Amino acid sequence: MSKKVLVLDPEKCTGCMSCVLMCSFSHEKAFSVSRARIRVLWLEELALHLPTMCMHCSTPLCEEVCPSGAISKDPETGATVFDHTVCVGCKMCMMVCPFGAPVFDTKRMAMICCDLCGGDPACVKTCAFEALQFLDLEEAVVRRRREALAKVSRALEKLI
Amino acid sequence: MEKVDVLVVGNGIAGNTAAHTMRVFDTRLSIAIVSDEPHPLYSACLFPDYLSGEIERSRLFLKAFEDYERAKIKLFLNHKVSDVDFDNKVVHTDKGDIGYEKLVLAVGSEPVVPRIEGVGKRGVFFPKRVEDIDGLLRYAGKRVVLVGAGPIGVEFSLALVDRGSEVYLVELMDRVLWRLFDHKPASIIRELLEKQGVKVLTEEAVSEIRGGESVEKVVTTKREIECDAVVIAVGMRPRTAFLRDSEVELGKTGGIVVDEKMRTSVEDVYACGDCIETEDVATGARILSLLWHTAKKQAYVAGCNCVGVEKRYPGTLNFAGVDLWDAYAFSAGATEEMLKDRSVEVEEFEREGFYLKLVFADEVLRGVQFVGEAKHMGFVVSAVRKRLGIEGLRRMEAHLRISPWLYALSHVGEGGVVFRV
Repeated sequence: MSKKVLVLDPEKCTGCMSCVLMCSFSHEKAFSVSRARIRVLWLEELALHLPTMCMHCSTPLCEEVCPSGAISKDPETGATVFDHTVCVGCKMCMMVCPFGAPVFDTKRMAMICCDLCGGDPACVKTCAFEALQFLDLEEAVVRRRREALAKVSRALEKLI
Repeated sequence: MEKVDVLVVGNGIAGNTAAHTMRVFDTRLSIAIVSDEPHPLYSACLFPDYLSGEIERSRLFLKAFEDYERAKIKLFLNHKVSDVDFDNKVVHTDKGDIGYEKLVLAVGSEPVVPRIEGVGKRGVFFPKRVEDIDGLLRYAGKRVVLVGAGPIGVEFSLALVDRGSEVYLVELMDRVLWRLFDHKPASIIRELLEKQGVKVLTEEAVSEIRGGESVEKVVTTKREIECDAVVIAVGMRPRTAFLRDSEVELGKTGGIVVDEKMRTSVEDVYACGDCIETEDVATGARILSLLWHTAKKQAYVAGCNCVGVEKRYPGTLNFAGVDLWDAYAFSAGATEEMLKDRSVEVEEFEREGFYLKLVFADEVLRGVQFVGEAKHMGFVVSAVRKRLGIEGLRRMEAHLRISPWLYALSHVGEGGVVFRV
């Protein structure tokens, strides 16, 4: 199985927050912004909506620092998975995460984080603007290259 | 005499990580762990939560005995290792000898017992093992004196306040958490601690613990404090006393000297965890790390090399975070004081409820101290680890002023996600 990755495209994001609500609904059966594992930030300086979530690092710092062994890598999906039954809520992972991805769930008194819904993310299914996509790694890289090339050729056209 | 392929001495996080790493790579190897404790793996980092009553005792244990069985790792619990015969490859314990092909020393650390009169009295605790915390919980403790304001002292003081005790935190140095923070952030942390009800006394040495059979009073250089329990956390040192006269080389810190593959000076003997001495990437000094995450990393490297999978340890980067209820304090790498013999440049950012200090030496980021709503600290940890230049960070300084979150943007494309801005 080829590895799949989540592709975020802030330029397409409108900030409709449906991914946030779907995330909390599919995991917690509640439409709660504070209990969602994805957030949409509004960066005023750049006039940009930025969906943020766990980046599923290959060597996650959170897994390294976790004193209760609640964080592990799923060998199938490559996702960084949090076990909220083992977590004691010390928030070390929240502190070290470069993206601020782990969320403290006050109902469970434990950290929760994106688990890629076991390989079929709910946020991607609900995003109407393709700002969130779940693609094969190779496909994502090729697409990214093509877009970059298109940008370069557009710029060259303008010059010529 | 029992004989195993790999024997791991110590059933802490280092020993367990090493044993389980080897099991992942080699399913037929016979692996055993020998330990003087009767428990499966437990996390000492969770003691403050257990002490405050936030979690139950059972949650301290990260593994059950079935987990060892499933991984086919043999356990020799309650076996105290007296010495090791490196020539014949035999470990001597009080309950018989165990032969080995390869040995992993993950013996850990033990609390330093200061030379104070009365440390043997009832009611004096050295928190290191589960039993110490059980004892402290059973003990009344209306008024508790904590000696040593390191991470253990600070976290325990808050946990004891949570339990409703009156807490005095006595520190010999001029500030709390002096290994992690410089004066300014330490004074912010002190204010936060005092706000929670901890009485912080710095530049005071405990000279005597008085009382009959149990503790009644602590005498410091400045005052006398009446109390019914004393918790001493003045430091940890490696448990390497049994190796002092052996071929295994010990460093100046008392830790076992290892190379970057975690090999000791004796062939087929590896070491990892609290008991070894490694190089600090921030300062270049040989240090004891004594932290959970570094032990885990070292044990992984040791386990891999033990079964022939070549891995190198990149050096230790110490970082630690403390939950102060209202705020978090986080420190990574070196403090300004540690680097005082070099050309140090400091950048500070301060706002309401937010303090950040970056320490540069020789134009390279060496340390970060943060008090406030600590998030996204992973970026700065990586920046120190990668020896990011002062120029590289300065380019991001403008972003830093807007929001610490924007740090994350410089991480574009490094994770498993294609990120486009």
